[in-house]
Amino acid sequence: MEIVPILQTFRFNKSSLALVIVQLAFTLAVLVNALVIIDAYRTRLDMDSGINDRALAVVEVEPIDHAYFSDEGRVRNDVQQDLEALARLDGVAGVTQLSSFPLSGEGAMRSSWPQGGVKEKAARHTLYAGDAQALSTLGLNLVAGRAFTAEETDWSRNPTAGSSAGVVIVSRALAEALFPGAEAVGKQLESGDGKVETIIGVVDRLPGRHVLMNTVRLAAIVPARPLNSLHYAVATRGEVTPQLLQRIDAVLLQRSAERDVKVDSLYQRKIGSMHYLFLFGSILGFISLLLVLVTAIGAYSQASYSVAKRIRQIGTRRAFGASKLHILRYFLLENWLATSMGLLLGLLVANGLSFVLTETMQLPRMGMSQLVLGMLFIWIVGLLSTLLPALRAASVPPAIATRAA
Amino acid sequence: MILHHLGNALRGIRRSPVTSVVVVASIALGIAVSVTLIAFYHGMRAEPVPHKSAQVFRVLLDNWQAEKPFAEPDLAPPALTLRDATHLRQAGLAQNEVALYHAQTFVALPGSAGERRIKASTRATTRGFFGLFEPPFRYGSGWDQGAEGNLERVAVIGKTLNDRLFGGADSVGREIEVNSATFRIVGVLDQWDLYPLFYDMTREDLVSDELFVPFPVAVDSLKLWPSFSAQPGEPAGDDFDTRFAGSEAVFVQYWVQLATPQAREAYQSHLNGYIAEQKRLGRFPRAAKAELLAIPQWIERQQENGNQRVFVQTLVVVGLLFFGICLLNIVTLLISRFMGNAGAVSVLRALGVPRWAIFVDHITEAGLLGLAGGLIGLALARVGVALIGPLFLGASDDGIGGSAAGDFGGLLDASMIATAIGLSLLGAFLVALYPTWKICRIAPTQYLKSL
Repeated sequence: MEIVPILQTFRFNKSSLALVIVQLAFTLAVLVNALVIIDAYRTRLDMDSGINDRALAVVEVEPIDHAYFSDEGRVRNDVQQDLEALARLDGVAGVTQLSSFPLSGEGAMRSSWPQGGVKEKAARHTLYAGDAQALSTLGLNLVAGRAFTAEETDWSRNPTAGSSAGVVIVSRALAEALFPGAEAVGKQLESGDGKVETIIGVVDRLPGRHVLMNTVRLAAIVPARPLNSLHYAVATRGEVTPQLLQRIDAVLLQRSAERDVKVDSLYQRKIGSMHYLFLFGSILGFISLLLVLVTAIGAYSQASYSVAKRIRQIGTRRAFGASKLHILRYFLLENWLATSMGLLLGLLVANGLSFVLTETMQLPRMGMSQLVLGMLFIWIVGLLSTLLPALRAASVPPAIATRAA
Repeated sequence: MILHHLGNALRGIRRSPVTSVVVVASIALGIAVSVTLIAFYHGMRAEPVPHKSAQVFRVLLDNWQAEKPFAEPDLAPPALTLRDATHLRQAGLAQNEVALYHAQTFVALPGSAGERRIKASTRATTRGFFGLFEPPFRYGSGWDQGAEGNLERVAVIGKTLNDRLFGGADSVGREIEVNSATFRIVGVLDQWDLYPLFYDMTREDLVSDELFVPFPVAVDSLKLWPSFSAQPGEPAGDDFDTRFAGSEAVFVQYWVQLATPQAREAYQSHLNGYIAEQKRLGRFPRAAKAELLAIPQWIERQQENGNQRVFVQTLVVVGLLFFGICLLNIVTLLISRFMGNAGAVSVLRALGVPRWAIFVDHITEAGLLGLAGGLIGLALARVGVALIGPLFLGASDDGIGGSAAGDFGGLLDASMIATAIGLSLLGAFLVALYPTWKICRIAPTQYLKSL
């Protein structure tokens, strides 16, 4: 093939070749990193967290006057009546009162360590407080020990400070982080201020407060019923429907209009918690599409220019017996070589950008699949945008060579 | 002379309309993307009240416990306790001073009981706010000294809330229910886009306030629970008074206007004296620290570790590189376009037109294309800002006022327009340099022969 002659012609067009290479390198870098972010977003969104977030509605009731919470009796009464009203709704499989919701982006965190152990080995994890129905409503799978009893779940003004019963249930990942290779049930757990709790159960999986945290699998739940918030999780039969959300909203407002009700599916909340990643991915994705478009136009005009410049040479080659296919192949190959050089440099730039993004925004590193996908895409776009000028070149009649300049 | 070159340039543009369109479109696209992103960055760092930026200061007092600072590295909390704010207000040593905090309230028209109320982003503030930060009023004005002193329930509402409740009519004198109290409207603001909400900045997602109520009413009678509060150690209690009145809980954000460096020094020494005095009473256990931060410093400190900052910075870099790529694309186009005119240029040169005149003609041509691209790009950026703005700030769920209300047109201010036009002209000149140099250096004889 004509690789050597093509490389020789590159030497005469160094500046335009350099332009093409720089352009392609940058296009690849942005495209691949957009793919990385979109990929990260989608995997986190569809991640099996151990909780069926599409079949859970989360409800936050906000009293109009914050002074409401100083009347304990009223709070208890309202919580009980709210939960009963919710449980009576069609399509509701279970209800529970929680301090905060898994994967919602909000909630308390704390550090815990084995009692008597070194504080430096503490694990940082999400902490929930909930009533006796929490495990069944969230659909958590107890793999060792027991669940909370109704007696253990006491009311608390500061529920995530720990339970009065001194017991805690942890996720398997947290149990393994704290007591690697050992049975966790029955062990004592220490957290700030000398507070000690006994692990009474281990659940298979309990996700933490934010899906983008490295520690998303480390979580614990204590038996305590919040007196400082009105947050309910509602397990539904089948997926959460907008109609059900409306019914939940209506029934709670009907109980009292002196409050605001916010109700969502947990899945929707999870999407909300990843808002920034979504936004960054979409803007970068949009820019990379524009870049590919601009690059395609560039490749087209570059090829058109180089064909127009060489009309007479093409004619001469045709006159000496080169077929149309030869000419077509020559121009496509020329473009392909230039594209490949650009992509080669693009590998470096993409890696650099990916490094910066990982460092500054805690994004995952670029993977092989995104790189290959991005390169293939740019190759194809490059070839497609050269096709038209190359066809034009192929249709140059050999007779042109005989005409005077 | 200038007209002559302009005429030549215009003729050049007319000669190859297709390349002209592609060049203008490329520049427009590049400007649209980069300026949209730069506008957000610019907005994040804008000076909200430029003529006072050297005079307005945020007051910070470090009342945190001795063991660990409020935030690393040794930063004071972003707000004051109610008792410290009250002391400063009573001392009244600054030319103008404002105590404020953010709260969520629920608003309705009187007599609409049982209906869903409107959740409104609310600012409890002393009346100095309106004079200090100069929000644009559509109707009425802020409340007066007497009303504030007598704990009158008066309110200023934002444009969005006025549109929702009164269909945009002049609502001064009308009444609204805020939580369970009735307030009389004394002023209505016009559209006031702030990004970020520089006078608060305790949360990244706050964009605008829709209801302004007197600070004394909020803390003394309404007892509006602040959205942001923090205390060293455990909270003192659960009701408003024990939690906030005599405690070390910080939630009051304090601003002062000090016109001269002398006034600033005097205020600083007053703060230092106050801390020393309070230390004798067993408060302020950390090394004495009272700070007066100017608005830019304050914004800088609060954004330093925020997500938005890094996020927007990265996008600005990507946007500028995108513009660069669009420009690179044009170089080849311009070369072929200018060289296509080599014959005519050769004739001119042979007739004695100097090189520099040829140079000016072609550079002017590129400049005109760049200017057109810049203007179109600016129009596109206006669309871009309106499209991305709500997404940017859509994460907040604080009802109206909590998230974006306007369409962010304010982000494209005079300096951004200048940036857009400057960037497009600079870009066009840069990319035209090499092609122009090439056409100026042609040997006329070579082309004259082929004519």
